[in-house]
Amino acid sequence: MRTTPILLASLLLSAALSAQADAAPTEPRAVFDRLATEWQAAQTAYRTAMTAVTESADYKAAQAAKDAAKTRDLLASVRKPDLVAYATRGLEAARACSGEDQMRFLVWLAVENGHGDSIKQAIELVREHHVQSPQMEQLLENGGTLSRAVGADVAAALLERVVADSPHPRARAWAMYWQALSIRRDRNADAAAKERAGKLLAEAEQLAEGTLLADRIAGPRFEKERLQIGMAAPDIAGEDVDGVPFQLSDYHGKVVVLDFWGFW
Amino acid sequence: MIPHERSLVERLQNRPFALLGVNSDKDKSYYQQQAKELGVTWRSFWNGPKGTGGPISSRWNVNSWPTIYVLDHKGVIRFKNVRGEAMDQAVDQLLAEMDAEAK
Repeated sequence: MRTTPILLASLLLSAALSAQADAAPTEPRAVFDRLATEWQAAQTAYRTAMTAVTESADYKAAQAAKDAAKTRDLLASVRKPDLVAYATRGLEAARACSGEDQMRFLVWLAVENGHGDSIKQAIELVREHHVQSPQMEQLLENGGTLSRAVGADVAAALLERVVADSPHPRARAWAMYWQALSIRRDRNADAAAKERAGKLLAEAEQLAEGTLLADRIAGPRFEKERLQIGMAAPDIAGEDVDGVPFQLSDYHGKVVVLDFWGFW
Repeated sequence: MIPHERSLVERLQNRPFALLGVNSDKDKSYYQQQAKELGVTWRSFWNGPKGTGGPISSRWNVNSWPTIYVLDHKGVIRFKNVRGEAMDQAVDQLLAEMDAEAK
């Protein structure tokens, strides 16, 4: 029968497709989602295990007995997620794809998974292929640790390229912001450099108008003009940790301690 | 820090006083877990998934943690960065002012 090979072929194909659904994904976004989800899960599991240890009777007893060696051993019994393994996988996956798919991996590596060697390679790829990517904004939002991770020269070179070549105003704004900050942190910066830092910040603030970065740049001015003792506190509108919207001004009529904090 | 604030909130639970946080943990589930464990009963704005780089702290130019503002009942900033005993004294002073005004 002539149809048999076709039937056979389609049977094989559907078998192959159902096998593929169970196997590791190959499509870059699926690979990325899987990696990111696994990483998140590993971190959550680590934290949960750490909490279980610190709440255990053994740990509390060791703490009460001031047995530092014992508490250290108990804490060390929880294995940390293998950062290097995830970073290696991320980098491999990044090299296997291109364009914005690749940039997605690289941003993730740089932002979430700051393992030394992989972040250097990731930034190298960014410089080579992705200076104009719209995802540059996400990368540079977290640019504060970049120079520590890849070295000041590499970081500076990347920022310069972004300022010169990125078509995305907010990416350029972030690059200028970090440039200005590095000038301000440089104890040898002369008056001309400081003036340049001021100009960079002013331009970045304009480019980033309406964003968090603009607020951050305006922060010192806002504090000076609006947050001094004796001034009416500016309102805050936001959500509480359960997602319920509320405002600082809801508490008018009460003495309020406003505490910027976190557990970390 | 947290035990002190908890005792302040407990002591003043029947007074016109509120401790409000701007919580800057990136991960809300971590917050929920820790808050439960350490007995955090007061309300906090959530500063969003960017943590300390979130919108409220950016606008308020917060660069060190914790940063504390104490407001009187009219919403005027009266103290900054008072900790421990000094925080209690500041709050007590403002509550006393409020009582005096009501008389």
